[in-house]
Amino acid sequence: MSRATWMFERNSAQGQPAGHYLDSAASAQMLCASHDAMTLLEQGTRANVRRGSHRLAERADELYEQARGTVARFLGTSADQVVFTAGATAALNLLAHSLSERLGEGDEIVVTELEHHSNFIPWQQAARRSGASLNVWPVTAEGVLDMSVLDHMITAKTRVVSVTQVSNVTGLASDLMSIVRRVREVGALLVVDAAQAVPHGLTAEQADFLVFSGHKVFGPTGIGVLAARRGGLEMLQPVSFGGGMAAGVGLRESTWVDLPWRLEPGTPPFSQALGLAAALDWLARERGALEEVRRLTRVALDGLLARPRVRVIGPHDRERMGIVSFTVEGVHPHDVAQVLDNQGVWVRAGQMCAQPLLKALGLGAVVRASFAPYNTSADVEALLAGVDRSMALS
Amino acid sequence: MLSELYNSKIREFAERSLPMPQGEPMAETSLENIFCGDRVTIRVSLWDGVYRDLNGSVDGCLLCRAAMAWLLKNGEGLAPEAATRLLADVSAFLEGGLAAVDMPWHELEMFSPLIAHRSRRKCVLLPFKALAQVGQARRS
Repeated sequence: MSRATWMFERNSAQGQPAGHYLDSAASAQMLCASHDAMTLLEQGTRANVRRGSHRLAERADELYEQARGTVARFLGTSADQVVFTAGATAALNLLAHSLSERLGEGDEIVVTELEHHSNFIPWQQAARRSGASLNVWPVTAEGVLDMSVLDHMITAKTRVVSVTQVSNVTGLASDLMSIVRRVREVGALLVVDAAQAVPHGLTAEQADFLVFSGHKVFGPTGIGVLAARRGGLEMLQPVSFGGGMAAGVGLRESTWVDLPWRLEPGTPPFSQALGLAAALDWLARERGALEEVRRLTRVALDGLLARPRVRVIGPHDRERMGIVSFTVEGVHPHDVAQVLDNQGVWVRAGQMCAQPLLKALGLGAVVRASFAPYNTSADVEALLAGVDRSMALS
Repeated sequence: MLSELYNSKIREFAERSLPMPQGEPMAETSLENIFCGDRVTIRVSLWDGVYRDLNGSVDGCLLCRAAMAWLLKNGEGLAPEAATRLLADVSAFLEGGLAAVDMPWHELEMFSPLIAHRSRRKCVLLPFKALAQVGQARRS
């Protein structure tokens, strides 16, 4: 294997990406370590897990459970509280569906206007299914959670609070400490969508449940994690059913195996689990790289703020986790992104699957630049040059 | 490449003022592209089986604005069924499956660079979808 860190380095003569990839908040580039871990399994140890008794199956089982252990250590929980899912969205759907069975009329679910649709729609459905109320915690005009209404939003009737740790639009971290304090006061459960937080080393230690996805943490697609702390998985009943999760199947009734496997019906993403574990190992070692991401983000933020026609979404004086969203006066975000694409700068434009937040801020769309450890100052310079160029469209 | 996509014809249409309403519309449809945030509203009246007094608003990118301006200029007098066919034709054209010369409006040739920009075709199609839907909404 080459000594490259990132897969794109293996795919270019110069060891550099073909452009300036600033869309890591959507999907990050993949680590070679992650890819190689999966390849190793696929080449020599590919067998289904939790089923077979032959030696290949035993080895695959062992590797799969080792991967679970790695994830658990990274998150500060135990392996029996880690469920592999198809992604963060699947994890949130599993959680919302399962918890809805414990809710009823008079109960309240709280989500925020900051949420990605993946942490919004499942709770709308959970409320509809259970008869519970869905209360939406508003943001301020600046696009951060309005903490002045904390005690009003989370009340004695609140059973579940589901909140993002880092906004996928602003890159700002939520004030989880205050939320945790209030959640504990009223005896509710705290669910944290950490999809944009884990890539920056944040793991919401106080959350009862946490979800994230593999492809945003420099690992493979097709895998995500639902993790619980304080034994939270015990509360969850399966909502999907099939092989691997049943202890016994009768003609009318079935019983389930222990946690966490009872929440993993069918063949799990065992290859991707190894890739994810390798990515988390890398993240745990390379904290310095994450510091550099924050520094680059600050440089990009300062550069954008220096341009009078650019409006940066969110407060300007708080540290951002690798994300800056903005608009350019007189130029639609999609057109800005098109100009940037023409310059080889790849950003996201649109509503970022965060329509409630954009509507609250009176925005139709934004441009989002997101940074990762493979980005450099050259990427920031290309971004700013492209933004300047886009202004000619107005 | 960029100058082709944002050619002078598209930019000219995108900068045009949209027609003002002459009276109360009989039907109105608003559509939003949830990915890019483009929003269009089309208002129409239907007289003698064809659309009259087409007007509306657009909050979108250059391509969406150009498509809206073109449609409001050329949609006057279309029957609802023709608006549905127009949507199908423009879709096929943007996918490279129909030559502009096979369509009654050669001016739509300005959108031909979109054949190579799959991700931006929806920007052009949004106003056409709205016009097709406003007729369906009225029929139902």
